[in-house]
Amino acid sequence: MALAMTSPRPVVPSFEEVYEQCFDFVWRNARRLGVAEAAVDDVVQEVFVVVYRRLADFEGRSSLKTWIFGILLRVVSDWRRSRRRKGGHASLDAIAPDGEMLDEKALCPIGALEQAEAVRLLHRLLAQLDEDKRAVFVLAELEETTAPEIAEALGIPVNTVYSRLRAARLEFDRALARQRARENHLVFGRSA
Amino acid sequence: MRRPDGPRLRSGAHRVAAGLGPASRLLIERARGGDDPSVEDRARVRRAVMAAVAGAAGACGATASAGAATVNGAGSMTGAAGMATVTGASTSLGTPLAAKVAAVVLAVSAAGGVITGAVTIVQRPRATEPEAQAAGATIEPSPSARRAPARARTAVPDARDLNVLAEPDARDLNASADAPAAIDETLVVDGDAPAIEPARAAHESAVVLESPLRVLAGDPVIEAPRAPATANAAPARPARAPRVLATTPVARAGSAPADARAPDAGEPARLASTLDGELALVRAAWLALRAGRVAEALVALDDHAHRFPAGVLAPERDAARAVALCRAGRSAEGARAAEAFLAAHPRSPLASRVRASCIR
Repeated sequence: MALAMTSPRPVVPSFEEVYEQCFDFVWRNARRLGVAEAAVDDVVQEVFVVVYRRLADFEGRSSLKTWIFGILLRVVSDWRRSRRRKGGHASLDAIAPDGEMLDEKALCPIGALEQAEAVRLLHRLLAQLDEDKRAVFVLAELEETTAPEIAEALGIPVNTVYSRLRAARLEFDRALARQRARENHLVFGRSA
Repeated sequence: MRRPDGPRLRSGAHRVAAGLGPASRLLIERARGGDDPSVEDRARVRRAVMAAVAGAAGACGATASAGAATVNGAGSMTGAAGMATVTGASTSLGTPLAAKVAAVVLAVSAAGGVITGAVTIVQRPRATEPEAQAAGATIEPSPSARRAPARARTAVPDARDLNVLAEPDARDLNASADAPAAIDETLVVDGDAPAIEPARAAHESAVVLESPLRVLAGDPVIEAPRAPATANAAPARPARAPRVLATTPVARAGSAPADARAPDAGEPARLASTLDGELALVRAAWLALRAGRVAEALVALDDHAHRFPAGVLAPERDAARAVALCRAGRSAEGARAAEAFLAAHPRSPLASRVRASCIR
C-alpha cells in the first residue's frame, strides 16, 4: 500500500507510538497490581486516555515506562477505591475460586498450563504485599527496572525504594514458602 | 537500556544481601510472559481505547494540546495539532450533521466478523460543502456549530454509505438476510464538547475519522469516498498530519493527491498498513460468504493465513474459515475448525455465529 514513504520522526512520541510501545507493559502490570481480570480492559483503557490527554506533559521526561507506570498506579488506585466503595474486594485474585482461571487456561496448549499456574500463584503472592511494596516489587523483579527509575515512577526517594524492595522480597519469599507448605498439605490430603 | 546515575539496584553486593529467594525467582521465571495480553486482548482493547480517545479528544476540545484525534478503526491514531475534533455522521441522505465531539462507532458484528464503522469528519470552509456531501460519509459542521458549544451527538454511520457489514442501524438489518440483529460489541462515545477551535483551525484543517473498511483496495462494494477535503488541509504539525491521510482511501481516491499520503514508514504506520491489509482480506472473506461465494471466501482466508499467520484478525479469520468450510459442505474439516475456534475463543462475539453454522 502507499503507506511506505518516509518522513522525519516526531521528537515527542506520538500517541500511537506510545500505545504500541507500552500496551503490553500496561496490561501485564495492571494485572500484577491486582486489577481483576474482568476490569483490566477498563483500567488499561483509562490509562491510555490519560496518556492521550497528558502526552504533552511527557516531554523532557527520561523514561516513558516510568511515566506511564505512574499513571497506571493512580488509575489502579482509583479503581481499587471505587471497588471498595461498591463493597467489592480490592483484588479478585484473593477471592476468585481456584477453578475459574484454570478452566480458561486449560484450553491453552500444554506448557501454557504450567505458566498459567505460575502466574496465578504469582498474583496471589503479590496480593499479599501492601500497595507500596507491591509497586516496587513489580517494577524491580518483574520489569527489571532500576532503583532510580522506580524512584522516579513512584515519586519516592531512592533509599525508600531500597527499603521497600528489601521488605517486599522478604515478604514474597515467606508468602511463597507458606503457599508451598499449604499445597503439599493439600496434595497429601487428596492422595490419601 | 538507559543507565541513569545512582546506585545500581542490581549491583552484586546488594543483590546478595537483599536478593529474592531461589524459589521465588524460579516462580517469576515460570510466570514470565504469562501476564502478557493475548492477540485478542490487544485487538479488543485497541478498539476500545481508540474509541475512548476519540471521545477524549472531543471532550478536551481546544485544550487538548495533542489536538484532535484521527481514529482509524483498525487502530492507528494520529493527533493533529490545533484542531478540535468534530464528529458527526452522515445519513444516507447526505444531510450535513454537525457535532462537536468525536463519536466513533466501532462495531464488531456477529454477522460481519470485523466491522469498523467510522465516519469521515471534515472541518473546513463552507465553500467546499458540496464536495463534502458528495463524499457520502463526510460531515460538515455548520458555521453555527463552530461557534457555539453543542450537545455532543453520537451518530451512527449508515451502512448504505459506508458499506459496513453490520450496522447498529435498524435500517440496515434487512440488508443481509443472514445478518443477526445482535451487535455484539458497539462502542459509542459521546459527551459534551467545549466550543470548537479558532476559525483558523477550522479553515485550515481537516480531521478525518477514517474507517479502514473504506481503504480496501479492490473491494467491489466499497466506493472510496473522495478525499478532496483532506487535500486542502494545512495542518499545523505536518509531521503528524500526513498520517491522518495514511488512512484515507486509496482504492479509488483518485482525487487524493499523492503527497497527501502517509509519508511515514515508522512502526505505527507499518502496523496500520498491516491491519489494513488484514482487514481487507478478512472483510472480503465475510462479504463473499454473505454472498454465498464460499470458494472465494476460502481463497481470501487462505491468503490471510499465509500473509498474516499470527495477525490481529486471526480469530476473525479462523471463525470465517470454519463457517466457510461448513457452508462448502466440508463438514468434517468445518467441524474441526469450528471446535478449534471455539476452544481458543470461547467468548468471541463470533462464537455464536460459528456454532450456528457448524455445530449440529
